[in-house]
Amino acid sequence: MVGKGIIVDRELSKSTHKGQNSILLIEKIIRERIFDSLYWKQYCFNVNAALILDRCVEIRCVGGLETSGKPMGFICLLVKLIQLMPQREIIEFYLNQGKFKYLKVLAMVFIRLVYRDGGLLKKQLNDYRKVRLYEHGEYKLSYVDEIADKLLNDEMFIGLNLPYMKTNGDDESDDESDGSDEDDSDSD
Amino acid sequence: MSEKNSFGRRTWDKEEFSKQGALRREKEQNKTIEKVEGVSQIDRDSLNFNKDLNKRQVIASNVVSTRGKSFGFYCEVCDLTFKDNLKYVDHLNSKPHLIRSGELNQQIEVTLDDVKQRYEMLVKKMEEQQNDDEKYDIKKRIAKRQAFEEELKRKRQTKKPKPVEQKTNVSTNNNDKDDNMMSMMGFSGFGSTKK
Repeated sequence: MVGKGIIVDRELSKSTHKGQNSILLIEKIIRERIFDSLYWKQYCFNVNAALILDRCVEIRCVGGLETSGKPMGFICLLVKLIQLMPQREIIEFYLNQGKFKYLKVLAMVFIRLVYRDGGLLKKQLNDYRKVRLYEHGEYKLSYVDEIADKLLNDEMFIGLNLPYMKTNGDDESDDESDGSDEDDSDSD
Repeated sequence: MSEKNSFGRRTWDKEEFSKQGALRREKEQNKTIEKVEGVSQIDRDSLNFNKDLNKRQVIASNVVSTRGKSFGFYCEVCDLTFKDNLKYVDHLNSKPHLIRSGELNQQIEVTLDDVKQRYEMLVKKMEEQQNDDEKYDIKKRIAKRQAFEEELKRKRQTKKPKPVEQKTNVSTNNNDKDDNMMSMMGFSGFGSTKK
């Protein structure tokens, strides 16, 4: 809210992340599409980190917005998780459970966006389960480790801008030059 | 309450009106929504917006207002009808509805144990489903499919010949007569080349 009665950002989260509202991690245009969608209104309302599992278990595809602009279930649930901002142990439980692979991918994307913990993502590189991925207007066959690799190296994933993440080990010169960013991420 | 002064202009009794205003404000504030007893919560998971698709229903003509049951999506708790599903779901998320149905104060903070419980419940559900699938016998499925295909074959056999016969009969009869007549008259058709 700015001033009186002018709503700039809807559905703001109750938690902050790095000094700003956590829902702002997702770009505005995607957020608006999601908040207007039926899936969000029907399934992502009045849920908590436990009840949302019912929906997470049902996902059958990793994807952002369809070409028509309609958001898929995956990204709606991701935004809901970012809005809820459950404790880290809950997210790690999502990540380490073995039964539902799409729930795991959801946790991976969440970790990439919020915690920016490359070490946790690298541990997922030995999971070769098949996953259906919707990107650039078509469905593709992908694997959990492939998605982990994408999250570690790419700048975009299913239409989401991935924020800067420090990489451990490989390029020392890189780490030194971006020292200020490191300090930020350590403080959280 | 209001009088005309010597110039014909109205003067207002401000005290009187301020009293009325205060009364009205009080009324509005006291108008609270209460929980409706004996109604079940609407289950969002089982909402099916397509179930009445392509069906015809006869409904009393209450088209203008949203109050009461008419065509569209009906909310039993609030006795309101909505014309599209997005508006309907918006209503289900609105505060008045949540108060009436008693869903308002759901806990948002949960602990890891709650999540684990839910997870185990879901795993159980999934395993039960898988067991059900396994119980489904493959031989039965094959028999079912064979019966279905045989039925299809029978339908094809009974359907196919009829229209073909009719067409050929009609066309041959007419064509013979017409062709003879036309050749006698010295032309081959009536302008169009359609047959």
